Amino acid sequence: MTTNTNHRPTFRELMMEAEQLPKGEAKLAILDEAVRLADSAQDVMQGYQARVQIVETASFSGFPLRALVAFSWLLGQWDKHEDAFNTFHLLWYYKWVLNKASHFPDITMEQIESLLADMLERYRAYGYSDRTYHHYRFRIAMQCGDREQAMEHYEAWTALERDDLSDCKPCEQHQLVKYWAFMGDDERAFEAAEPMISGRMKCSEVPHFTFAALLLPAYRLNRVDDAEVLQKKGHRLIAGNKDFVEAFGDHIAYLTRIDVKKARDVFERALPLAVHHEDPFEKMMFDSSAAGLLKRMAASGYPYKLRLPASHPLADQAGDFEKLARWFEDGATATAASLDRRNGNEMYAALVRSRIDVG
Amino acid sequence: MNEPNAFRFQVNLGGMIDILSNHLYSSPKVFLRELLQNATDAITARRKSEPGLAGEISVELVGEGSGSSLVLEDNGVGLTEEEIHQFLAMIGQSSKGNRDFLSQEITFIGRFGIGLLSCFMVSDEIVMITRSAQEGSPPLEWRGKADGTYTIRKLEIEVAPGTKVYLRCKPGCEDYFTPGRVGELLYHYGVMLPYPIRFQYEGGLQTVNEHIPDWLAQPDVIRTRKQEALQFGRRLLGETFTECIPLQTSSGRTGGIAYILPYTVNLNAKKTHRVYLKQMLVSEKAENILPDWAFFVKCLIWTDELQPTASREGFYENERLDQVREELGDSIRRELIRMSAYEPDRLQSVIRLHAHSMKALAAEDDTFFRVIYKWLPFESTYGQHTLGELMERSRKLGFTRTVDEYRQIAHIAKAQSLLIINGGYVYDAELIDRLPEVCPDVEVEQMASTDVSLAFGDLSEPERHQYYEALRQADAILQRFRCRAELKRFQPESLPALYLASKEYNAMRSIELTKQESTPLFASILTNVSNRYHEAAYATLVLNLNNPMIARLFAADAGAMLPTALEMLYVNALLMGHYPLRKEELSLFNEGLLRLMDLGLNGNN
Repeated sequence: MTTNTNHRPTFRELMMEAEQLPKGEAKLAILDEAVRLADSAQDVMQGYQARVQIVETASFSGFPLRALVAFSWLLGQWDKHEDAFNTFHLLWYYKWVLNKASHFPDITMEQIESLLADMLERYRAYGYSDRTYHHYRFRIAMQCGDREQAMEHYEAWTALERDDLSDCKPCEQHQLVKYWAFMGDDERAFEAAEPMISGRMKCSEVPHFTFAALLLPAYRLNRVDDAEVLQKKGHRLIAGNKDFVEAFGDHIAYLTRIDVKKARDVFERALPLAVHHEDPFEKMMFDSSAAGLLKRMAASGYPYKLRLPASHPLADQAGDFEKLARWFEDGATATAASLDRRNGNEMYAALVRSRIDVG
Repeated sequence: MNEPNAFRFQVNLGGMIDILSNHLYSSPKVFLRELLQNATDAITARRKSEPGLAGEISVELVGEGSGSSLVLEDNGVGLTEEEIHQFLAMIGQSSKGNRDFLSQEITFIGRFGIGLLSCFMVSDEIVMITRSAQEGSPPLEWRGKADGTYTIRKLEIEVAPGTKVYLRCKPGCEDYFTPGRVGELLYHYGVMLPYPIRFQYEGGLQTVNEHIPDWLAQPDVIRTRKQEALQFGRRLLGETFTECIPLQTSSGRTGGIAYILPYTVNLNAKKTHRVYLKQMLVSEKAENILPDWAFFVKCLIWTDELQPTASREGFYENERLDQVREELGDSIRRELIRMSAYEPDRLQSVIRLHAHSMKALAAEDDTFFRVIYKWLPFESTYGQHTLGELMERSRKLGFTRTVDEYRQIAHIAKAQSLLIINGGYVYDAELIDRLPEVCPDVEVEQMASTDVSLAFGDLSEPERHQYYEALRQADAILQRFRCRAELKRFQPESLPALYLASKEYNAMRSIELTKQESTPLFASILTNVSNRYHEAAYATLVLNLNNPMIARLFAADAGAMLPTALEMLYVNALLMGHYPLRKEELSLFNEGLLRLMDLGLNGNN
């Protein structure tokens, strides 16, 4: 609460103010301002400094597009003045940006391939192994519904020794959980999640994502008690954080099948975070789960007025569940169609359907 | 088991001590905590069979600094030879379950052996003389060395049951062997222990925990004995406070005092609550014992229901901790709500310092929001005011979601006395958005910068007709900036033009700027992802017909003058809105300036 609108803060003041804020929109707004100042003054070092903070903040608070824009600039500067900046950080950030690229249907398969090749080339130039490249190829293959590629690069990735650019162990373990769920083996997904469930493996995003990803498998395996604990613990970890919109979708989808009232509470709390989310994939996962819930609510006929954020396009129709369900459904199926078109398969159409039609 | 006289540890003790001191404990000073813990446990265990026994712990510091030694004695249950082997040779295996009276978690909280080992952080040799309270047990001397060997021998002297531990100051640890330090540490760790701790040193004798505050059982009493509680907090937490709140859970097994920090802290500030587990200080930096929003207090907490982590400096995240955290949070919340009813001035002074924290809590909790919304401060076009004050001025509140949008709107809204709140700071927009749920008669509206048009006066039909052609030209001139012109009437008259950009336009603008700086691959990707912005990405230059210069510009047949004048107005409006100029805009500005000077000079001639 220090910005006075009549005084224009300096770059340093802005950076100090940003430092005090938690990761999120308010912090990004201040960093954007810092970037604007730096750019106006044509100060590359300051522009670099502020954008590093944007990448760090945006990547973990649900703004992948802003991270991409800032990173693009950093990479451009790095190629111009390679010695001036910290190489390791840039190589590390590359993973974050690459990981989210496949979430955007507007980014073509060729572009994703080029990004992977570009990353590999840069990693090799600095003496790092191909392991991280294979790991991300594996992740992207899963994200794009390519089983063969996923299996191939899973093998290649796990055959190599870790190095300094490897993701932390909990994050890698989480990918194994996702892999088995992706392959349709819920049992093995659960086995792979044991280190997270027992609390031995954790980092800033694990087990947050893991617990969410296990909810529907647990439901399918009829592990009722496990699911209940995972839901409770998992939701506490992610509540209020825009970085976990996909995970909110998982929670809503699971709870819709178990306890509609709880699902509704989670939905109402998470909706303001999801409504204008930058990440089309995550938003799709949220929206399809929301549509499933709203359809259930419409079918039950129980009168209720949802708490919708003022900025929601249907904010004035908070009691019309059918209309709301359709709105969420339309958004989700449109994104699914464009992702599938890009990926050349129908994985998301099917996935989204399974969330919308709870039955 | 007791034929040989020398025994060897199963592990490399040197390595073990290294692990303890470098990885488990935060500082060597915890050896005193571990010794107090062992002594307390031993007394508690003995009192199980001898309820009348008055427990006593005495600590003696002989000498000072290097060459000094420290002796800690208790009249507890003592150890038999077999127990010594069990406790000391089986490090890492909990002592619990080995002996009946020690098996209950409540009576024996320490892990004797590992506790004793921590003394190797400050002493190369540990000597312990102990006699078990069991009938017929002989006094024993145990001598352990840091290299991992220990010996045990029977003593032929007569001693009362209990345990006495001798430590000799290790080089480099002199700081832990001064009367001041030992006394302070004993106080910090042991102030709540139920058995008196007497500390003797050259030139003094004191009872460390002479006065055990009675609010341990009943935290509520601090309401009537505030000064005392503040004094207590000052001694233990090392800070001067002016406000405190009693804490208690429904089970009565966790209580405490929350001291309100007398200065503003930021949201990411480290939390350093001090927690006593079963009357013993276990943590000076417990982070997870209060809800996240409670970052404006520093707490003293005592509990007997939480499970400490291996280092005993934090707590395991489990259901129990969850519940305790929730209930401690409730205590704070209830007290704030109570203040709002009986001592609103006090609450306001808290809010003034800790607005962020209060907003974080209000965002999470409807009930709390309902109680305190009136006192929450917001920045608005009427200045910095509380929500209550703002609501008295107007029942209709506009707010922006970002600082950026606020700034675009602010000066014109101010000129027209429109009340608009800056919702760009953490939690602000979220709270305003929810205000109507709490006060149904208040109307709130989220404003985008393009919405201030509601404050613009439209032109009359004849005016529209009159300016139609000039406006069309203006549009054509500004088109290359993805900007269109509008002619309106608004306050203040002194403002010739206002530049309004949608959020999408700003995102688009920053992507365009970045593309020029990035690699070809990333530039192509940016092009693809920016497609989504195209429809919504536009900017508007609103020209003010109330401004005499604009009126003249459009009234006269400006002709050749119009392009330059508009471009200059455009750049000027960008600058007023704090937008960085693109290269082409900057050169436009330079050229335009020269051309205007030229025109001016010609006009004068």
